[in-house]
Amino acid sequence: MSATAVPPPPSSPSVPTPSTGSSVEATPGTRRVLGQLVRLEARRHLRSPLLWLALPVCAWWVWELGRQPWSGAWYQALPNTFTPLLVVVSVLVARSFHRERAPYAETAPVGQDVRATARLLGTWPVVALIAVATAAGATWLRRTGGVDLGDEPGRTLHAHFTLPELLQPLCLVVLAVALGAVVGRRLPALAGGVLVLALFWLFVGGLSWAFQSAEVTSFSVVQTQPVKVGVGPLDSDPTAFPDTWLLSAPGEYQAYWGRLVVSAALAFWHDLWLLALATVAAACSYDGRPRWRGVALGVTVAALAVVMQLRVIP
Amino acid sequence: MTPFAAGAAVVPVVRSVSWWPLVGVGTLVLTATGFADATLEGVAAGRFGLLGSAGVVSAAVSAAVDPAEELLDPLPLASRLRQGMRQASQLVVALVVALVALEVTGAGGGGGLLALAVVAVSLTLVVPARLVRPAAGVPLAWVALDLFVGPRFEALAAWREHPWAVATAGVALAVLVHHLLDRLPGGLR
Repeated sequence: MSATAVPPPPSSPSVPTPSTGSSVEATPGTRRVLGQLVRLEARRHLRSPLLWLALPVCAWWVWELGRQPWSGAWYQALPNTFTPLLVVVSVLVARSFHRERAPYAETAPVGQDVRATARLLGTWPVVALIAVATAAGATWLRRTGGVDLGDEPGRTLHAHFTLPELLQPLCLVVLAVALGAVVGRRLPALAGGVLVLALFWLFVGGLSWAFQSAEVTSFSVVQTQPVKVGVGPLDSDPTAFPDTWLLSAPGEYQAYWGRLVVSAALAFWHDLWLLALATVAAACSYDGRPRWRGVALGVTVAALAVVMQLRVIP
Repeated sequence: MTPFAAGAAVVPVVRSVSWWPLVGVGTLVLTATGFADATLEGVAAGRFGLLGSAGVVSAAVSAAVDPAEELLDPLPLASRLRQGMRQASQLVVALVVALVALEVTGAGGGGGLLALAVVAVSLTLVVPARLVRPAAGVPLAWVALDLFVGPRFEALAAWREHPWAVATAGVALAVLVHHLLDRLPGGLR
């Protein structure tokens, strides 16, 4: 009886070997695992009651804005209404990344970079949710003719957000994801991390009006427009200003006549600033070379974005 | 357990506490209140102080969660007593930071914060483990709701206007929850 050669096993899908290296190995198996992990994370986020609790809170906040008597309430405060959702997104992502700290994560069949990438990409449903909400809001404003802005005699009832302003909520949710990632991955106590994230978003989102002065707005997180430029003292004749100007009348918090300027360029560079911050934060949730590359890229773009904001601010 | 044993356990229990949450939240709060003090005035700055001090108190109460608790099981000390020691040690520091934040920003409400701390600690001592973190968040959640939706729901101002009543009601609620959970079959705790 002759010994026959044992045929090789049928080609099986390549299974990625356990790896703790810092590079994402782009084998077909790794891509398949990445896809599965992304779907798993996405399902987990969508099943969270916190996410669905935040939506009616945001809607209530928007509805409450409609009851505000002051001109420009919608235009100036609408970006703040995403704050509850941003808190929840950060917390969900922090919970997800905190699982990386469990000892059994080291025995997973793919490296931590693949897992981190999957956790980040798995947030696509919440990003899509914000995109849909923003698009729906913009469409609704187009159909209803816009919102009021400015004080008589320089006032309009048909103000619309510029495209970079509409993109700000998307950039904010990307930042919320990145901050959740770095806090969940790097802080040892999740309870403390959640509190840090909640406080951060309440400060920069809920109290965003405190960060809108000309000196600070370039470094703010939630930026609200228009920018106010002083054009005359308290006793100025407002009818002497050009008809095309939107005006802000003197009041309890302002002892001068101001001109309201909406700057799409400022909003664009601010969006880039947010994405740069998100890059730095997301990079810090990785180990090794990707981290330092991401930090270097993020810091460079952030510096450019700040300089450009300071140049274009009215 | 003798008072001597309890006293001897204070140091190892306090050493087992993770101080990072309090340090992280405290740094954020002091930075924010410093910014508010430099750039804002009156009620506007006070909002930063109130929110920040509530966050610090919540961070201290969240010391109820300790991953190293099992290591201290050999101590002749009840789990709840250890939890109380951890929270008390952090609350001492947290209340100092909170009072600084309130003082710097000119906001009142120190008594109210103390009442919310009592409520949160009482709840964390009696609720099931999975609800301890949400219970620790009560001070921050209540103050945030009061700041952002308070004008619509005046009852939310109770923590500022009637701190004694809030603290008493919180302790009574905790006692009630404790008795209800003990009577329920199936070991909800």
